[in-house]
Parts: sequence; C-alpha cells; structure tokens
Amino acid sequence: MSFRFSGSREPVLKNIDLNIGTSEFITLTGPSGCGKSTLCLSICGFLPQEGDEIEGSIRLGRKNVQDHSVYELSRWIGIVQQDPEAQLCTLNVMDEVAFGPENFLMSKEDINKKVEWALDVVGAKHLVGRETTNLSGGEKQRLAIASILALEPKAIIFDEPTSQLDPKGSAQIFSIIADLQRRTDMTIIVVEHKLRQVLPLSSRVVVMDKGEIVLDAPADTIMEHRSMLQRVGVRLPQHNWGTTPPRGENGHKGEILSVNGLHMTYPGGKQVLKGVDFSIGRGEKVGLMGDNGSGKSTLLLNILGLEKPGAGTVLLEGRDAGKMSMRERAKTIGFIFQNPNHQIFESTVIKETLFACENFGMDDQESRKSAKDMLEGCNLGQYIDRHPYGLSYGEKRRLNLASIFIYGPRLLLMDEPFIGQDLNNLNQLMSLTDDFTRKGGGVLMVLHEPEIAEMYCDRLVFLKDGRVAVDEPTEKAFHLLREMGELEYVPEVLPDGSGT
Amino acid sequence: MALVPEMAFRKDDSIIHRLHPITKLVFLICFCILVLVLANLFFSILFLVLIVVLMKVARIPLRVFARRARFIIMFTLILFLLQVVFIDNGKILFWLIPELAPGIGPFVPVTTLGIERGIVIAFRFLCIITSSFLFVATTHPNDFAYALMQVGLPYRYGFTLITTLRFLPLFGSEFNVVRRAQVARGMETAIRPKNLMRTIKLTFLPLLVSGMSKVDALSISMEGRGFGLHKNRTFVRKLRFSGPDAALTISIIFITLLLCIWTILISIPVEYHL
Repeated sequence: MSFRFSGSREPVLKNIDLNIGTSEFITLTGPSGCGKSTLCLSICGFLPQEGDEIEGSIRLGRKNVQDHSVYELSRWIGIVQQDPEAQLCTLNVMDEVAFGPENFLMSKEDINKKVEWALDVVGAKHLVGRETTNLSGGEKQRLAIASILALEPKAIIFDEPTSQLDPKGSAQIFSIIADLQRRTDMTIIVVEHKLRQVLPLSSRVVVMDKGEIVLDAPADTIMEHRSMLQRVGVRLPQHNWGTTPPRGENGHKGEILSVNGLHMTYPGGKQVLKGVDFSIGRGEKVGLMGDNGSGKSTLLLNILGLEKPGAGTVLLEGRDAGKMSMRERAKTIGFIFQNPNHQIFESTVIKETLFACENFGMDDQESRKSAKDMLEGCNLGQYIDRHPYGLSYGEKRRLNLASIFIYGPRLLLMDEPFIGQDLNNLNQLMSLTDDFTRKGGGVLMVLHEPEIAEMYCDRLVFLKDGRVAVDEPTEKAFHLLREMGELEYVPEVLPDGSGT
Repeated sequence: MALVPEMAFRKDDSIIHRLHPITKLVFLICFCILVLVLANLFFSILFLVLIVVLMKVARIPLRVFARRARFIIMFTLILFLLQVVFIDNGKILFWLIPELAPGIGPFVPVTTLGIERGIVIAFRFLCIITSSFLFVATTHPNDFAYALMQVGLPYRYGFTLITTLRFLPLFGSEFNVVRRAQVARGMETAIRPKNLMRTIKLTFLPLLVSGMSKVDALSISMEGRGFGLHKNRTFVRKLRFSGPDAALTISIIFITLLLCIWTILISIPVEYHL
C-alpha cells in the first residue's frame, strides 16, 4: 500500500508489502519520520482521514481495514502509544482498565474478569484502587497496556512504549511484553529505536526508511545487514555506533561547574538531594544517570537556579551562583528540556534563535548576523523564515541548540535530549555539542542509554537516592555500575570486550 | 501554578463524604433555593450556622477559606455596601454625605432597611459560597461525574468532565515547564503588566502545540477502546444510593417545598387567603 497525507506532495508510505502471521513478534524500526507511526495508525484504521490518499489495501484476517470503523477494528487490534500520560482518560486504575469493555457493553461479571486478568498480565494487580495521576511513568504505561488487553484483541502494536521511561521501567515493560507472548497467542508489533531489549524477543525485524520497507528479515540474521542498517540510522545493539572519541586531556584547564554538598527538599517534605558533590571541567562532557526519581532533573534545576537548594553551594566558573541574579545564571547556562516543543516560543526560526538575545539586551544587528551563521552551522539555514513547528523533531532539537549557543553560555545542561532520536539525529546533535566543548564549554546531560553514554560522555555521574553513587570516567563507571548490579545502565559489551 | 483550585476535594471518610453525590447535589440546590427565597436575617444566620456545623461533621477546617479570605471578604463587603448605598427606604440613621451647603445635600441616606438588606445579601453570598465549597470538598469529582451519568447524563458529557479533570493538572505542569524554559533563556521571572501580553503570546503557543499532541493521543486511545460506539455503556463502578440517601433526599425536597409554600403564603396579605 501507499499513503499520502492531505496537503502534502510526497507520499509518507510507498509500496509497502507486509504479511504478518498469527502469533508473530515483529520489531518495526527505522529513522525518525520514516513512516512507522503512519503505518501503525493505518493498520488500526485511524488513518486515512478525510483527504488523505491511500492506495492498495490492508487486511486484518479477512477484514479489509478500510471497510470497517475504528471501533470494530479495536476488537482485533489495539495500540499502546508513547506518552504514558496522554493515553489514560480516567482518574482511577479500575475505571481505566474497564473503560474499553464498558464501551462495548459487556456484562459487569465479564468486565470484572477481564480487568483482573489484564492487570495480572501486566503485574499491576496491586494498583487497583489507585488514582491514575499518582502513578509513576512505568506504572502508567503498564496500565495503558492492561486497558488495551482488557479488550482481548488478536494483535497489539506498541509504538515506542518505553521512550519516556527509565531503563528499569523499560525492562519491566519488555518483560511484560515477553510474558504476553508466552501466555497468549497474540500477534505483537513493537515499534522501537532501542533494539537491545526487544531484539531477543522478536521473530522478525522490519526496517523502514523514507516510507519504504528496506529490510524484512528474521531477527537472528539482522547483524548480517549491519552496514546498511547503520547507514539508515538504526541503532544496533552489541555494536559500536561510532568511534569512541579520545578521552582525557582536552587542552582546557579549570572548572566550569562545582557542586558542593547540595541538599534539596521539596515543600511536601520529600528530600530529593541529600548532599551532592561533583564538578565539571572546561571542555568536558559528563553524563548524568540514575533511576527516575533519583534527583537528576532536580539537580539540573538547582544548578540553573530555578530551584533553591536547602544547603550547599553551586559555583559557576568559580563564582557563587547563589549570589548571581537569575538572568546572570541563565546567561552562563544553556538548558535543553526533554520536549523540544516546550522551549519553542516564536513564530519563525530566526526570531526563535534571537529570543534570548532580546531578553539579554544584546546588540540586534550583530545577533542577527551571528544567528544566521548559527542556523547555517546547525543545518537549518534554509528554514530561517519558516514556522518552527513545521520542523521535524530532530530539526527542532537543533533549533533549541542554536537558540542557546547564540548567547554564548559556558555550561550546557541537557535533560534527556535524546528521547526518540535516531542515530543520524543523535550524531548531528552530538557534533554540535562537540563544537561547544572544543571551545571550552562544559556539558552535563541526563541520559538513560548506556550505548549513547559510551559514545559521547567523558565521564559519568550516577545518582542514587539523591546522592552521587558513581563519579568516574565512562569506562570505569560502567565497571562500577556492573558491580553494583545496575545492569540496565551498562552496555551489553564493554570496550574491553567483557559483557553484562 | 494553581490551575487546580486549592478549594478542592479533601479525601476523608466522614458521613457527608459517604453520601451519594446526587444526595449532596439535591441538598446544594435546595439549600441555595431556600437561601434566596427566605430573605430575612434570622434564616440567613441560621443557614450559615448550619453550613458551619456540616463542615465540622465533614471534618473540613474553616481555615481552608484562609487562602481565599481576601476575595470573599472584599466581595461580601461590596455586596453589603451596594445595598446600604442604594436602598433609601426605612428609618434614616445618618447621611453618608452631609449637607454641604444650605440647599445642597445631604446625600445618600443610610437606613435601617438598607443595613438589614445588606447583611442579608452578604449572608446569602457567604451561604452560597460555603455550601458550594462543602459540596466540592466532600464529593470526589470523578464520583460526581459517574453519579450524573448514572442518573441519565449522556456518557459523552460525563467523560468530558472526567478527561478535563484528568488533564488539568497535566496542563498545570506543562505550563510550569514552559515558564521555566523561558526563564532559562533570560525572560523575566515575574509577570508584569508591561510584559503580560508578550508572556501570554509566548506561553500560549507551546502549550497549544503540546496540548494538541496530547489530545491526539487521547482520542486515539479512547476511540481505540470503543468510546462513542454505542449510545449507552456499562458502568462497573458502583455508587450505591443507600436507604439513608433516599430518606435524606426525600426529606430535603419535602422541607424545601414546605418552606417555599410557607413563604409564599405569608407573603400574600391575609385578606387574600381563602
């Protein structure tokens, strides 16, 4: 089949030929924007919408998808989406799982049985009675899975189900998916960038690029296509994605950031930071890892000055940040938030880039000129007058960086900047931050994937329960983390050849 | 940011919390009718005392009003003063603006009736505010939505309420992130009248965009689970309308009717009585 959205010239999907058998476990992967999600939504009947053009056909069993409503199809196929927040529609765990069966007018007894079974499969029976708002990201995603399972579809699509979870949460979700495969004969399709956990479960891997299927092969043969996959931007596990940069001396001297004995307690009484000490030198890229809730984001906000520590100090280039104004701190620090959309405010790419310059009262003419250079450097030169929201995810991320680098900060803080990014986007982002550190800037980035940390970070700081548990050069840190049993944070194969 | 009102549901297990939401809704409606119908000082004070007692029973401390105290007091005072200034019937106590010169003034008489009506109106306002709060504080909004659907509200409307409640806190936290992102790029922390419009413009867009993507995901999630397929749906959640609920609802309606009839009767001059 082929698919073209209303109003766009290029088709998103081209000549897709795909047959999936009962009980198969398929991993669908490919770079951002390759058409994976469009394909999934078409299979479930959410697309085409009015005006979209579709050629060819999709069949579920003997049903032609286009002849049936989403409602009818939902008894056949369900979809679990990325965002754990946005797909829960009720306030209570029980209501959420019962939601589907209730809409299909099943009897109360039936519904109760289905709810109990579904919660049991995802290991969430203990959550009954809880309010959905108070659940963790991982728990929410388990609930989302249960609420689809309660309809007992014949197939489930998981669209990057773990992109917003920490490694432990991800591992749990994948073990639930594995369990599901063992306990039922459901067909399972997982759309995923992070292949490490999903590949061992899959029978087949389908790779898409630019709207086409470029590979459809048994999962155990995928390494044979290594070079092609790497070119497309697929992040293969057990494989060095790039050349590890030389580490150690970087030609710069002195510290950019020094955090000493930082304590922080939230008004509700929850103590998040319990004495954090570490520092970042000029030209250094430091990875910040740890479970969700270990205090990573809070630490970044404390460094920036948007949260105030209960005790301890933050030194920026040797100066006590507590005595600097918020604006001064903002000028020294660039901050990349998790979701690129949260930090795009203006109506054109160039205005967006100049946003901070205006706030800092920088010279207009000069800024405008350097903004253009900056956008060229970030590969965004052709979009200067475009609306930023028309950019792709990867382009938005680069725009975020451009609009920060323009005012010349010395420290870059990044809060999980790599969610849902393919290898090409990753490489582009990292080469931009490399330029930044080469000029003497320091980077502190929160990240979850050990493979990325291995590739880019000089050093790792691992937070556990509000304290620094590990602060070592990357390789040594991995060895320590392995000894601590934090295996989700260690690459499958370490540079010295030892595995987890 | 307090997008979620401070005066919201307070989890507890008091006798009032346990009542069916419809019972409480009937009480609230009847109570407000009576507050408006029985316009004299005696009843106004009686009603306010009743609400205070009920709040004690529901274990809701009066200090929950502290955060809104300024607004409530201001509004009560304004209502009171409006009556005092505009009602000139009754015995004149004094003039707000004395005689300025022979023949000019005095203006704005303050009368006994004006003060009495002012107090009644102020009490009415307090009664309505506090009783509404009592309802909100003792009724989980989710239960309320399900209860309304139980008595016939089409489920699409009921779920509009539920998803709104579900997403309000989410938008609150998104708003915080956007504001932080702005401050991180040098925008002023405080919102001043001067930069208010700019702040709104710059905040609205990212919130709208992330809101739209959430709405997309939500509609896929709801439609993908059959929402909207049938005219009706099953409800597993049981909200029991118990014996006491029934008894209470009937007596509340009965008392309200009685009092209303009584008011109408006494307000009609005796010579017209049959």
